[in-house]
Amino acid sequence: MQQLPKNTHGRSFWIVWARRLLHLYPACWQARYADEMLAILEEHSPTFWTLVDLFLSLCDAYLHYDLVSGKSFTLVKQFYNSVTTILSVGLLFSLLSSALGRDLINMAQYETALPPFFQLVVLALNNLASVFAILLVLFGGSILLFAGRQVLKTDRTLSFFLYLFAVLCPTIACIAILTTNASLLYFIPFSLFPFLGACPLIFFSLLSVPIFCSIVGTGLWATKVALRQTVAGIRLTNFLLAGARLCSTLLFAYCIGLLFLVAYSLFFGFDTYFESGLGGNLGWLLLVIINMHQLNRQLSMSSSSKQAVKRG
Amino acid sequence: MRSSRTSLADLGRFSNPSLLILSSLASGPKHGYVMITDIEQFSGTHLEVGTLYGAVARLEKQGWIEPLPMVERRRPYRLTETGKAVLHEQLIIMSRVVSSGFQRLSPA
Repeated sequence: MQQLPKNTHGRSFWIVWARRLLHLYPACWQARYADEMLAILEEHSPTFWTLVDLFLSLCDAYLHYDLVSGKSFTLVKQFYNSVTTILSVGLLFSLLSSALGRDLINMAQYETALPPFFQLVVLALNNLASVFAILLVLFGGSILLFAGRQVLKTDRTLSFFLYLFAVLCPTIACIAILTTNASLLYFIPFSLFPFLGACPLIFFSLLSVPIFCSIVGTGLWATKVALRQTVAGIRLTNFLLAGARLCSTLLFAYCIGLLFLVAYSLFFGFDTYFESGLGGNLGWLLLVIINMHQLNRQLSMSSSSKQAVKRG
Repeated sequence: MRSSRTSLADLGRFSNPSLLILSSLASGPKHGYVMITDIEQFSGTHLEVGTLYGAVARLEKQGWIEPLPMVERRRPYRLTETGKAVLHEQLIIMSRVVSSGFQRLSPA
C-alpha cells in the first residue's frame, strides 16, 4: 500500500485541526473570512504555531465581535445590560456582613498580635467595612426587588442566571462559614490587608498597599464623576446610579472571588486560611481591576445618554 | 505625533501586523497568501493566518483597506486613500525615529 509522504500526512493533520478551529469562530467571522483563511492554510503548510495563532485569533474574534458583525457580542451586551441584576448581590452581601459582628470579636485575638500601626488600620478597615455594608443594604435592597421583577418580566436567560449567581455566591460563602466555622476574616475584602501587613513576607505586605489604593482611587474617581453630574444640575439619580454601579462592579467581582475562595478551600481545606484568604482576595482584586474598564464605560454611557435626553 | 483619526497604535497587538499589511498593499492590491509571502520577503516577519485576518478585520473597520471581489476563494484587498495617508504618516514618524536613532548610535 502506497504510503503518503510524511510531510503530507503531517500537513493533513494540522489542516484538520485548523478546520476544526475555524468552525469555532463566530458565524459572522466564518461567513466573512473562513474561505480565505482556509485557502491560505491549504497553500501555506500550517504548523503547531499556526494552530496556536488561530486559537488566539479565535478568542480575539469573540472579544471583538463587533469588528465583523458591527454589533456587540450578545453575551457581553447582555452582561452590560444586566447591571440591575448584578446589583442584587448588594442585599445578599449584607447578610454576610451581618456575620461581621461575630468576627469583630474574633479580631481581638489578631489585633493584639499586630504592631500598633496595623491595629489602627484594622480598626479603620472594620469601620469602613461596616459603612460599606450599610451602603450595600441601601442600594441593594431596593434594587434586588427591582432586579427580581425584571428577571421575571424579561425573557433573558443570562439575566436569570446572573440573578441566581448573585444569590448563590454569598449563600455558599455563608454555608461554608457556618458549617466549617472558618473565620469571616478571610471572606471579606480589605480585611486581609492588615493581616498581610503583619506577614513576614514583605512582598505581600507591599503589594497590598498599591492594590488597596487603586481600589479606593477607583471609588473616589467614580464618586467624583457622579458628583460632577449632580453639580451640573442633572439629577440626583445619576449619583445613585453611579454609586450603584460602583457597588455592583465591586460586588460582582467579590462574588467571583468568593467562589474562587470556596473552591480553593475545598481543595486545600479551611485550615489553610492564609492561602485561601489570599487566593480569594486576589481573585476578587483582579476582577475589580478588570471591571474598572466596564465601570468607566457604564459611567460614560450614563453621562452621554442623560445629556442627550436633556438636550432633546 | 498622534493624528486626529485613530492611529495604528490604537490597534494594540495588531499595530505591527497592520503596518506590515499597509506597507505590503502600498504596491498594489493583494490577497492574503501573497500578503504573507510579500511581508516575509521585505520584513523577514512571518504572519500567521489568524494574526493576518485579525489585522485585516481591524483595517477594514477603520476604512484603511477595502476588499475587492473574490477570485477563486481568494479575496484581494487594496489600500484606500485614508489608508495611504495613515501609512504615510506612520512612515514619516518611523523614519524620524530611525534617523534619530542612527545619529545617536554613530560616534560623535
